Amino acid sequence: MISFFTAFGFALAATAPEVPNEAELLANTLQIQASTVLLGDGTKIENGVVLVRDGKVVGVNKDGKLNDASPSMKHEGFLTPGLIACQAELGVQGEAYDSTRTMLPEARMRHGFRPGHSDFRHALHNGITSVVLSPNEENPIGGVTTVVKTHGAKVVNKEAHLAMSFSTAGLSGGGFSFNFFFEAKDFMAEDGGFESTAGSQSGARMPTSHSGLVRDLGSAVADGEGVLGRVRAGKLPVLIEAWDRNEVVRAARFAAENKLKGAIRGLPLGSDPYVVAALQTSGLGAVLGPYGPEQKRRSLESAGALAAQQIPFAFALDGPRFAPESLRWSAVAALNAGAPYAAVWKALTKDAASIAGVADRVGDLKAGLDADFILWSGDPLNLASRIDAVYVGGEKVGH
Amino acid sequence: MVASFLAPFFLAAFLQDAPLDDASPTLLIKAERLIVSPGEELENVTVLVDQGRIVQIGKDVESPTDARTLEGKVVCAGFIDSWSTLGLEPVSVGEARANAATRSADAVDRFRTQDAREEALRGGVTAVRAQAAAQAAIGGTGTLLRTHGGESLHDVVCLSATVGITRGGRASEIFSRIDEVGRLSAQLAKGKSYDAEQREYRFALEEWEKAIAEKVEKLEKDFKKAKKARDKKVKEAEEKGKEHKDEKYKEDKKPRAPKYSADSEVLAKVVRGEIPLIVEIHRYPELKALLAAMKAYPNVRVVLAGATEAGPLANDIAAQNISVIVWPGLLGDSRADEWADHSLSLAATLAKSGVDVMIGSRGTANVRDLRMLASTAIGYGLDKDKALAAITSVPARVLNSKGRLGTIRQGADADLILCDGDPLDTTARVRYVIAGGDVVVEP
Repeated sequence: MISFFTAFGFALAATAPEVPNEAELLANTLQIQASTVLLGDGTKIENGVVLVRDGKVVGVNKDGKLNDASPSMKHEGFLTPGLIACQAELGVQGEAYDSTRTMLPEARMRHGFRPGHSDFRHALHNGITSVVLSPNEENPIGGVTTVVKTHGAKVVNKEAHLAMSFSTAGLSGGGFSFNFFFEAKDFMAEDGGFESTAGSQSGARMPTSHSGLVRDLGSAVADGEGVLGRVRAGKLPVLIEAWDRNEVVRAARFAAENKLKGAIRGLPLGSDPYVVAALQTSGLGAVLGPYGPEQKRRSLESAGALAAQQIPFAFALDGPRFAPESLRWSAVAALNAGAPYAAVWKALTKDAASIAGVADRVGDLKAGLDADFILWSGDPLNLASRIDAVYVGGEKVGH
Repeated sequence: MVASFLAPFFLAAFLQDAPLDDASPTLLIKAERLIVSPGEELENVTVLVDQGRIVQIGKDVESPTDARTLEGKVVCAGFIDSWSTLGLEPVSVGEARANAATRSADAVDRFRTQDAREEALRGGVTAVRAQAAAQAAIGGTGTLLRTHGGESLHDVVCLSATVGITRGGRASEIFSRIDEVGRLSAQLAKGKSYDAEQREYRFALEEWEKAIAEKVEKLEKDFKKAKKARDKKVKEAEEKGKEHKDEKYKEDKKPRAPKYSADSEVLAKVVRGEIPLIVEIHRYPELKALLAAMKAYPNVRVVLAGATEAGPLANDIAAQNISVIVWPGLLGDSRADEWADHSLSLAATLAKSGVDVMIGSRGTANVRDLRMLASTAIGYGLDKDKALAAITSVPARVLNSKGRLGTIRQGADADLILCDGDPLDTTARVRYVIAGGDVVVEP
């Protein structure tokens, strides 16, 4: 099915030392022709040819012609950019949070990156070539996310976002969930100090109310230095966990008031017009999924609703809790619930790269980007299609 | 042949007599591609649906004036989920105390489960096997439901059992898991002996009735003589001052019916092969033990569910004519023990050895994902037609509904899906779903 002409033959043909560099360049350029080349924006090119040199994409040839001076291979099926998962804890194993402290702005997920972990191999096997590693939602400020390749131990973006949480889980520690009772008791015992309150005795940590959370995060962003300073200056985007309607609206307003860039992760109610309006005002993007059975239709319809308002979105993997196949599954579930094909596909590639802050490296097949691509037997949004080969940095690494 | 000649005539008669307020409309479905059954296709044909049934399929189907016309690129039979808890009252699903006679049909809650049923319909699932007490050692009988409306198509469609399920602290180590196979066999033995007793009783009863009839005939024939003889004996007894005792006939002793047992009634049905025995079982040791144990019950229609580690036993499973319900769903790292070696290729592995494979959702809300599950199985090597059969014709046959569900044939229920592409290509959309002749999903 795949015919491979190695560079050797061409190297022999170009024996004369005075041959200009161009011949050498051509000899070093691999041409991969596929029945369909699917770009990051959803454009399909029949018999397109992707040119790869030195681990980078050189360009995409749309006329389907192959240059005899370069080695080439043909693939029957789809060639697409590698998939990007916008939230995961692959290989982290419980090091993604600290239950004893509230704000951990200087914690860096990249310090927990273990490239040899089998989680990355499984992700790669499923066509996921880049992943946003993020702390989980237990801390109101959980630390700095990082974007890594699933092959080759490469960090693509050391500081992708500051992870924040407006979710109920962010209001508690040690596994205790937020409870209105704690809040009331803390108020009553205010002058007695928090040590003696029911809340702190049960393990709940400050803040214990939603408004306290907003106030604490507000002052952190306003006064903080280092990472927080970069967030304030708009140099570092945020990735905010928010799940129910009030959480999302609160997070969106918070971001708008503090002029923060980034995305909200969670958003099962993305099809709620109230939520969509708040998101639009904030300018934030969205990270959706994964879609397990507990997600209702309304949640599956989020992608379509966001696409209709041109709000960029991507998908979370939430691995290893969810299987690596879940990324593509979530996208297909969104497609089946009515989202447009191009929007769903962008959410796995181009838009995911933008949200992860790595659009200059991955997520498409443009000249200069890393040659991370997948050869599929058919359309990647058809679950019946399988992966024939995975390439990272122009090198075949899987299947 | 006769039926197809007569069908238009019957239809005409039918339409004339059709009540005006009939809820199911007459539908004319034009299909570019009609999948009659997986692997058997017709091009550019029309399907006429009336009163909830398919009444005609062909190129020159005359359109009744009041018919609504729908057009579909690809038309196939509605999907059947052979492993679900859809439509049941939630507590009944987790119920651990059940016995063979426990009926899932009694747990159907048509009002509470409407959302999930509608979702399932959007996904093209028109019928489900709903099983209460799905984790109990013996879960009782499953019911076959129509997703739309939630009515039962068959109240008692199978007997469910589980072996070696870790959930709920049951049978975590290997010997107790294998022991559960023994317990299941003991249940079947009970059903077998009950069935034998019942058969013996019926035979004895027949013999007795015959003997009585013969005796009565004989006695009637000699009635006068016999009466005279009896009168004489009565008189003699009187004279001697004794009480007269009538002659005892051996035919007076009617055979006694064996004690009725609702559980054994169901188990006997399983032993006779009237309903399948669906066993959720996962690991190799107990699978091997079950296969060995079932050799003693050649009539039992065994269906395995889950069957995580069945791959190496595929040939044995095929040889014993056992079918398998596979769940090609996604599991993260916190999976239960029995699913530890879960592989999405299982359906393909089994099918390649000739095992009849079904695909189930094993859930309530995710019945909607049945099409995605079947598509995933194709992605992991299952033949396209076999994947479609796994959610249409095979479950219809296993669940005693062949001819009615799972294929598009004259006389079958009008459970149909109209897609704008191959039904299991997830980039194609399900446009219309017709359930029991009603258009229940529209674009």
